[in-house]
Amino acid sequence: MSDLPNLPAGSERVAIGFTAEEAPSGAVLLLVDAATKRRAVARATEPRESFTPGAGAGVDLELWLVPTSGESREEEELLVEALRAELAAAGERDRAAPPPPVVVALQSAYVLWSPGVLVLLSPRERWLALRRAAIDAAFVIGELRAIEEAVEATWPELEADASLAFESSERALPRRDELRARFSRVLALRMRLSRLAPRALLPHVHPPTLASQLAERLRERARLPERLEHLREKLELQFQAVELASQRFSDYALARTGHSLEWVIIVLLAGQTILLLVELLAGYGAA
Amino acid sequence: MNSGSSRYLEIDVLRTLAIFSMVFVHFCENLAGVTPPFTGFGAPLFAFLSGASYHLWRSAQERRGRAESEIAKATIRRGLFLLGLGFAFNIFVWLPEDTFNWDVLSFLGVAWMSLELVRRWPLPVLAFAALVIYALSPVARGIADYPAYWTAGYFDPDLCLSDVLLGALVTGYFPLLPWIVYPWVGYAIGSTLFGTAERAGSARLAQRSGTALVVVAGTLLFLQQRWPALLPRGARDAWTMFPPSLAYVAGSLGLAMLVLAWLPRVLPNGDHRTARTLQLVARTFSRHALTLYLLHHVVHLWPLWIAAGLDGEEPTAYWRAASSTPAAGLLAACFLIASYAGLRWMDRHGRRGIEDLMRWLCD
Repeated sequence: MSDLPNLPAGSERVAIGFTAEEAPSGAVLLLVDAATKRRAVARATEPRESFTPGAGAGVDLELWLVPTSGESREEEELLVEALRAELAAAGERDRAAPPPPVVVALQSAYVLWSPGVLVLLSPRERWLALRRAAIDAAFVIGELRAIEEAVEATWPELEADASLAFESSERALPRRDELRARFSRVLALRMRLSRLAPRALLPHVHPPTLASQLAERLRERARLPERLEHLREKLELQFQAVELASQRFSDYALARTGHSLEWVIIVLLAGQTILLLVELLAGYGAA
Repeated sequence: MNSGSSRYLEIDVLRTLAIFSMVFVHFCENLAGVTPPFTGFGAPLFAFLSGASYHLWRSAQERRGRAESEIAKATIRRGLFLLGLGFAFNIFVWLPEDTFNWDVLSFLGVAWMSLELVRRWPLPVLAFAALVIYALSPVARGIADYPAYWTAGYFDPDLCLSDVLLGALVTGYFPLLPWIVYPWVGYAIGSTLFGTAERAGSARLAQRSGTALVVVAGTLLFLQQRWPALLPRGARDAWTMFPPSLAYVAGSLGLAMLVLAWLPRVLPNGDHRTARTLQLVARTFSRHALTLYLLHHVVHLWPLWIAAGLDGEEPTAYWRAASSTPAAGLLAACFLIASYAGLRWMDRHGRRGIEDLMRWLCD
């Protein structure tokens, strides 16, 4: 049943969470990532009267399924335009500079996509196949966006510690845990990206189906190949920086242990020299 | 740290206590010839705090973006300034024959310069070096025949190079062995307490180390009383400042560490009247500690020399015999009150003390 007053009767809203929980609360819709065993799970929702991207705990995607009859193309286009305006308004409420909603028209189906919200307009009998394709594409795009945001968030601290890539110092030693955590974070991001890349760069399916075409068009509109390439470059640079800093840190810590032993020997020799000097001076005084 | 400034209240309070202790001890000793029971705590506190202050001063210089070599040069200049000031103080406040008695100012000058070297050491090495110096001191005193340089409780060397150097190393009032231990440990504790975000852990470490040192001092005193034969000959001194016995060094250093780590818990903070008054008083005395150190000697010693001169006596005729103990204590209290008023006036009117002269010349 539709929550939105301007949607046709029979529309449905599915709140989806991507989770690796062993026993998730809600019906499992799709296995979205075999490596991390993450699945798309339908979450319980409250009725609402507007699109609110990412609303609710554990909700990563809101999927709106709108039935069409395929009889009046003009009416459908009017509905798509109205929904596009709704999505844009919801995005503006949620973010300062939202990307405009993506509209994909495909044979008898329309897809409107904005970060966190996906609206699918198609005949009811195609919902199942299209829903699976849409969820899969939305997961890949959302995952890529999450990696992008994590990479962007890492720049300030990397820039602040750029000098550590050249040499480490005594002052850096107490920050060992912080540096280790950053190294692990960047490495984990690289791993996530590597796992995601084959799914983002899937070759076109032949013979094409409506569902496969929908997934391909969504990936194209989301500019996945270009974004993936940029992300790879950024992550490569970040990894080089943290790797260099880690190497310098490790070298310094190792050298410090050696230097400490050398200093201990020097201190002992200096102590002996002082005693000799005192003896010598005392001898002069006595003479 | 005080709100709105880069000063640490616990350091200001400790330095104020050190200067109060010194003023009362010196007035009572030099005017009345009496040694108060709290004698021997001022100088160790001063020396210990000089190490902690060096860490804070150096950190401030680095934050301002000064080059490493510039900071090193300023450190050496400050050290030489204090050394020179120490010699001038000995000549003008005491008498010219006391030029090389290695008083606390000369010692602090050398100590300040040594910190430029030891700050590069990892903290465990610094602690080890301090331990070596501590352990070698009684041995060096034995080799040098320490008592031979002291007459009636005063350092009395011949004016020859070997005696002068031995005075600086082992036999003077504040020789490097073992006094250098205080600023070195002060620097280590300062960089641990004030150099990390995890203050509680550092404070615990300082408290444990301080407690361990106090226990060592107590054990040494106990053994010295009960079974002196168990101790090596150099470690049999009781609680003495001249020479600085092992128990004295460990005990006074441990107490300084304990108090520095413990004070932030008990000092009033916030913006109420008691806290503000304490901050103002402690900051005023602490900022002008060097000026006060010089001034209180001039104020109570010069009148003795001048009066003796006018009476046609030896310059030291009235030394230690000029007043009763209560009168000396009262004069010390009056001096502190008057100097507080004077220092506040200096601060309000932008007048400069000897510390400002040092900054102007050396920084």
